[in-house]
Amino acid sequence: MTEATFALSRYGRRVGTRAEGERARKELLNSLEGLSEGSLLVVDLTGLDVLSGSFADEALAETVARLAAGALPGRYLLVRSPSDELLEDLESKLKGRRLALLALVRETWRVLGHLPPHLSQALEWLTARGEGTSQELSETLGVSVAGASVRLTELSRLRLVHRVQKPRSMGGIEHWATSLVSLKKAP
Amino acid sequence: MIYGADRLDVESAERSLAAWEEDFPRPLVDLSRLRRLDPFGALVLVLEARRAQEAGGFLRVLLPQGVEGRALLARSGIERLLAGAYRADGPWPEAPGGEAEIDLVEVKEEEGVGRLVDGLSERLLDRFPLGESGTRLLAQAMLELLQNIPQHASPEKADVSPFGVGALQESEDHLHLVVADKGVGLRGSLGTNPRFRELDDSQALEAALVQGTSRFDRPGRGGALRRIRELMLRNAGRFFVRSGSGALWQADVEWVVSAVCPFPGVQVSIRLPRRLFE
Repeated sequence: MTEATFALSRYGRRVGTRAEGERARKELLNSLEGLSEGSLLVVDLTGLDVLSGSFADEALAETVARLAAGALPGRYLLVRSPSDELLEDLESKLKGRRLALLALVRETWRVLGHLPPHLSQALEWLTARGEGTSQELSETLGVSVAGASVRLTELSRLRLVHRVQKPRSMGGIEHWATSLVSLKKAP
Repeated sequence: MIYGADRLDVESAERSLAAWEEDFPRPLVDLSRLRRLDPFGALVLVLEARRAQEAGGFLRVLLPQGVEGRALLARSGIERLLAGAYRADGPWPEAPGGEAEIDLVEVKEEEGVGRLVDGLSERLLDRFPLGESGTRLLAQAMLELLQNIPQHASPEKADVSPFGVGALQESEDHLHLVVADKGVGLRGSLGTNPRFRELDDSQALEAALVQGTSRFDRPGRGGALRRIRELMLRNAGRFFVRSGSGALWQADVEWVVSAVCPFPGVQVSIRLPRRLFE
C-alpha cells in the first residue's frame, strides 16, 4: 500500500476555526483524490499544540464521513499524533457522528470514535495478522463465514481495512482484507 | 439608582448590572470606591457602554477617587473599547507608565480568531515558558469561545450587532479568561431551531453546557461549551457562563443554574489555577 503524508501543522500550531477546518478539508480531499486506489493518507499532527473540536470536525470527521459514505473508493485515511491528548476533541466528534478512524500514537495504534465490539475484534485480528480472508476470520472467531464476511465488508466500508480480490489457486477469486497498520495495539 | 461597589468582578457584577439597568440607557456607573476590577467586570462595563450608545445614551461614570482604583481602571485598558460612550466626572485616568494588565481583543470576524489566539498564546508562553499545558487549555477554550461570536451571537435574520470581546488577566493564583458579547444569547441562538424554540434562558444554558446541544441539526456541531466545562472541571478550573436571565456556575464537581439580571448575549468566565502555567 502506498502512503502519503498530510501535515496539519501547515495551518498553524493551534488549529482552528470551523472555517479553517473547512478549507483544510478541501485540501485533504484533493490530496486523497490525487492518490491512486489502494493508497493511504496519513494526517500527521506533529507540531500542533491544539486541535480544536470545530476544526477537527470539519477537516477530519467530515472527511471520514464522506469516505464512509462511498466517496473516493480505495483511498484510506489515518491520523498520526505525538500524544493522546491532542486527539481528544477529534475522538469526541467522531463518537458523536458514530464514525471511526485509525490513530497511530507513538508506536501503537487505536481506533478513535465509535466501533462496535464485533468489528473491533475483527480489526484487531486482522491487524495482528496483516491480512486475511473471511474463511480464516470465521475459523478464528468461531462465527459463520457469512458473519465474518459481513464484518470485513463493514470495516472496509468504514475505510478501516483495505479489501482486494486475489485469484484462487483452484480458480475463481477470493476477497482478502489487508490491515492499514502493522503496529501493536495501544493497551 | 446609585450603586457604588468597591469591586466589579465576576462575583459581584450582578449587583452592578441590576443597578445600571434601572437608569438605562444612561446608567450611572459609580466606580468612586473601586478597589478591584477583573476582566469579567471590565468587559461587562464595555458591553453596557455599547448597549447604551446604541440606545442613544451613554454611561455616566463616577471615576475612582483613590489612587489604587484609578490605577486599576487605567491599567485595565478598557477606555479604548468604550469608544466615547461615556461621560465621566473627570478625565479618564492614564496608566502610570506600566503596561495594560488585561489583554483585550475584539472579535470582528471568524477569519481573525486564529491570529488573536496565537498572539495571546505566544505572550503566555513568553511569560510562562514551562506552562505549556495551561496555555494549551486556554488556547483551546479561546478558539472555541471566540469563534462562537461570529458563528452564533448574531445568527441569520437577527438584527443584532454582537460586539464580541475577549480579555485575559494574570493574577496571584489564577489566569482569568473572559469572552463576552451582547448578541442574541444562547436562547436566541438555539431558538433559531424550531426544536428549541420553547427553551427559556436557564434551559438553554443547560442544553448548551450540559447536553452539548447546538442550533444546527448536522452531526458534529455543538458540544464546544460542554467540552470546555468538562476541561475546566478536570483541571480544577472555575467556570461561569451567563446568558440572558440565566447563569451557570461550575465549581468543584457541581454546577448550578440560577436566575440573574437580564442582559443580552453570552458572557463566559474561565479561571485556571496558576500552577498549570508554572
